[in-house]
Amino acid sequence: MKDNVLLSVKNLSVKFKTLDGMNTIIEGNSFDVKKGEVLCMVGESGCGKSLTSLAIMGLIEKPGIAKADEIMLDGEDISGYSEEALRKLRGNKMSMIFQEPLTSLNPLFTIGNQMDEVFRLHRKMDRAECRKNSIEMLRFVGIPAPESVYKRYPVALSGGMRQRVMIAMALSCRPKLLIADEPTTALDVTIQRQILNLMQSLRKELDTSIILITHDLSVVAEMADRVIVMYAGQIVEQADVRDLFKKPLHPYTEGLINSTIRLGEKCERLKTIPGTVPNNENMPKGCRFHPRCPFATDRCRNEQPQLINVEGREVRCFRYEGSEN
Amino acid sequence: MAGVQKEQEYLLDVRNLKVQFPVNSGLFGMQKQFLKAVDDISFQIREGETMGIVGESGCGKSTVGNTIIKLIEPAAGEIYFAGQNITKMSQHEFEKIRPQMQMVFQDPYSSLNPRKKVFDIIAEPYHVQTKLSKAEIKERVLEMMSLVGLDASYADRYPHEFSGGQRQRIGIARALALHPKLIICDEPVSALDVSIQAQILNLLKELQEKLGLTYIFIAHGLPTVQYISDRIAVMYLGKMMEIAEVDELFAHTMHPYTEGLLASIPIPDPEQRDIDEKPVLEGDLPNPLNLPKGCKFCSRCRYAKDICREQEPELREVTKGHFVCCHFPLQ
Amino acid sequence: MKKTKRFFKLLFRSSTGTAGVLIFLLVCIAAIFAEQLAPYDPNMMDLMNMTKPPAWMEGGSISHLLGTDNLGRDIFSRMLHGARVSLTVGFLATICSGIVGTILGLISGYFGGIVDHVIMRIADAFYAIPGILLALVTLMVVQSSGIGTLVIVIAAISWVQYARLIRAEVLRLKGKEFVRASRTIGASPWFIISHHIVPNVWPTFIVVSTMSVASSILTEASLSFLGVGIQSPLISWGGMLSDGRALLATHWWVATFPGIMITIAILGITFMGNWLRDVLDPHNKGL
Repeated sequence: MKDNVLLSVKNLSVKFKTLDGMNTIIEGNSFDVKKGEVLCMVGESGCGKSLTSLAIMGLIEKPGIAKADEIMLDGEDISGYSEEALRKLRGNKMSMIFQEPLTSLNPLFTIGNQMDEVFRLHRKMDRAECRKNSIEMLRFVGIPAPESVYKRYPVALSGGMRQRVMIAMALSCRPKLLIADEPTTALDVTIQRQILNLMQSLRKELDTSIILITHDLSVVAEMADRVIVMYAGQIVEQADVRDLFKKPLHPYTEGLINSTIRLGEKCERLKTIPGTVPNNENMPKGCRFHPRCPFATDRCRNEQPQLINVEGREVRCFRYEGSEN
Repeated sequence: MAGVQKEQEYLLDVRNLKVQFPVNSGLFGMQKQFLKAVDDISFQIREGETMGIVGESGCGKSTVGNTIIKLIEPAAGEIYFAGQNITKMSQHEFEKIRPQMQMVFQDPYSSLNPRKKVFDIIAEPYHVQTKLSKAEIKERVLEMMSLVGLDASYADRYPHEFSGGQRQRIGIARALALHPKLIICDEPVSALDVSIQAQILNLLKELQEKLGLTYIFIAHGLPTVQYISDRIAVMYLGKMMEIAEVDELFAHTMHPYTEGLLASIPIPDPEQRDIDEKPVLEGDLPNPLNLPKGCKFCSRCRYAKDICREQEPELREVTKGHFVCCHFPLQ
Repeated sequence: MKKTKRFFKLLFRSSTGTAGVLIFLLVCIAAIFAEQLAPYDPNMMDLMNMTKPPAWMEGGSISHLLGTDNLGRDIFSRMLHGARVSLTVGFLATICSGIVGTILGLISGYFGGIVDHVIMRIADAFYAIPGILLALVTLMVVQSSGIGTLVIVIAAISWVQYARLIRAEVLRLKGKEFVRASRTIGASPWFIISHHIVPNVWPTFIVVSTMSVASSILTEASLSFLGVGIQSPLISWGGMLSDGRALLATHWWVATFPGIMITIAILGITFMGNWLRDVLDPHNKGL
């Protein structure tokens, strides 16, 4: 393993048991997260981006089953860890924030109560220390009057404030890896801007690696160092953010970028990707994107492309065969 | 008479509209408070035009749409549709006008009855409003389906067999069924995937060109609204903050809130992200039951002066067709 | 075809569901074909064969499989005929309370306001009095105890749960956008209720009804046991239980078999109800 890699996932699959047998949602995905980088996973609903993150955290619940050859986090392979061993890591070495700041906090306990919990669990601190650290964290994420917020209940806070609290909780133990699953989707634009700026500045200060999951390419463009584009459970492209926007290789990536509306730019018609995302019950044969792809050939209809290396990036498309390195 | 003429120029003329919701508080709900969801707004829409209404959650933009279509009764103000005052009409009288106004909803999952087939969903307006024969209804439903790009074979299927984008097409077909003049689109694409959003937006534009529709397009995302609209109205806490043509709004932003809103939107280009420091709108929306005195935006405005905290500004026309509600418009 | 296949697939996946449906079918068959299946006339007294034990016990014989009671009547035959009465009461009471409760629930939920208040306060009043007590007093006062009276009394105490559940369901559906959409095209309340609300309330109705059949059977058994329900010559499980109570110490089988029958039937129908609830849940993709 290279020194600068924090997380290395090899061949991760997630399956769900259904009435009609096993349903594979994610198939054989491998990727690395480098130390201190922001890796964005982008894709449309059902592409498996959220499940990937849950699988890393060991949070896939029955009837789902996650399997991986290896999940190396900071030098230890956590893929075979028991629930108890994983619990020690969660909130400590790796932590996660979710889309809905409203439902992620227990309405019956004060903010302070819920924040102290993290320190008590992982740092075995006493009450006074917990309180001191919690308030410190609240201040750290830019919450005004942290002492008073500490005593309040979640209902008394706005969506943006709750998301700040969630971030504070997630960062309490200075995790090496932070997974943010659509952290700003439920928020208003002006609040989204605040949270994105906050995450940028925290990242500079803490040197935490972030996996940011989003469907919004604009957020990707502002936040990411590297990008993984997912489609129908597979990684279809992996590249540096600037390369990706300058020259998208996969037709899906290109379609996504083209259909994003740019503010202040007038155009008669938007470029679209025709058709719809396939559902798991009738995944197309061959390349999963071929029914929507303008370049589809007979080969695409019958044979599944593999991820290949092109110019230091990865793409799952036959069109780049021969130019790999 | 000049007054009458002016009314007929516009398809929709909203004047000093106010909508309030009672909020019970105190023990046993003894104290009645009123939430001013829409507070004294006026705007006009010409036939064939698209008016975009943007704003953050709780700004009252959906309430405006629901009030125009008479799902909510206003507390004060008038709405003229094609020259007729619909606020004064009884529900019964309004029935005659209703087919001319339709709505496309946000959630393509809850806006279609899960136990009805696609055909029956689109046929419902005909059953309610017309006395057409079965064969005539069938013909029209199929016509509507092809208009919105749905295959005729889908007619016998149930909504759950479709993806969000196709469901939204079904919803649009239902809205078009009675050949309305005005369609109120209440966040029609915000629940859809990016690649599907573009499809639906294109469809709405095509339909407008083909059928000469007038749209009110309500959304929280400015990029979407600017693509489809001719004019944009920016709302904040029940008030219209700025109304202008799209190009004018971007070129000469006058309201500090619009400026903050524009700066908040992430730009889909990584090359631009480090170029300029963006003016972030600090703070949260104030509690709508406990609004600041004076300008409603003053608590978050970085240009706020003393007068802003004392006196509420009025919406006024600063340059031609550009309205702003601010004591000190930018530029 | 696909639907039937899916039905069985869903059924066999749940062991309690399978058991529930099987038991329910068996009880139904017993009730419908009681005459053909019963080896004896259930009311025929045979003084030569009084209190005979079940076949497998000493002194028992294969001719009276589950033994006889103190008047020499065949317990097995009586149980089959009892199933008929119990199911009839259970179903009729469910239909009556279902119709009344559902209509009131729909009105209450959809129109709200003062109508809702009145209906729900009446429901509260019914809920506050123990049902069995109300039934007991009513039956004692009217002094008539045919199946009809019993059905009405049981329905009167069980419509409340329909009204409440249906009302809650209507309130949920009323907030859905497809109801709003229907209002924007000018549909009348009646049209919305019949086209949008009722079809979506249907699964709830089915589930409540199954549970209601079970509870009605139990109420009937309790009332008959207390002596105010089904009277001779009609046979009911509760009545049999009551007959055998005095003999429990000496001839246990007279009361035990009808008792077991009540338990199994109720359990079976409840299992079926639980399974239906899971299957009809739209998150489960339904049938």
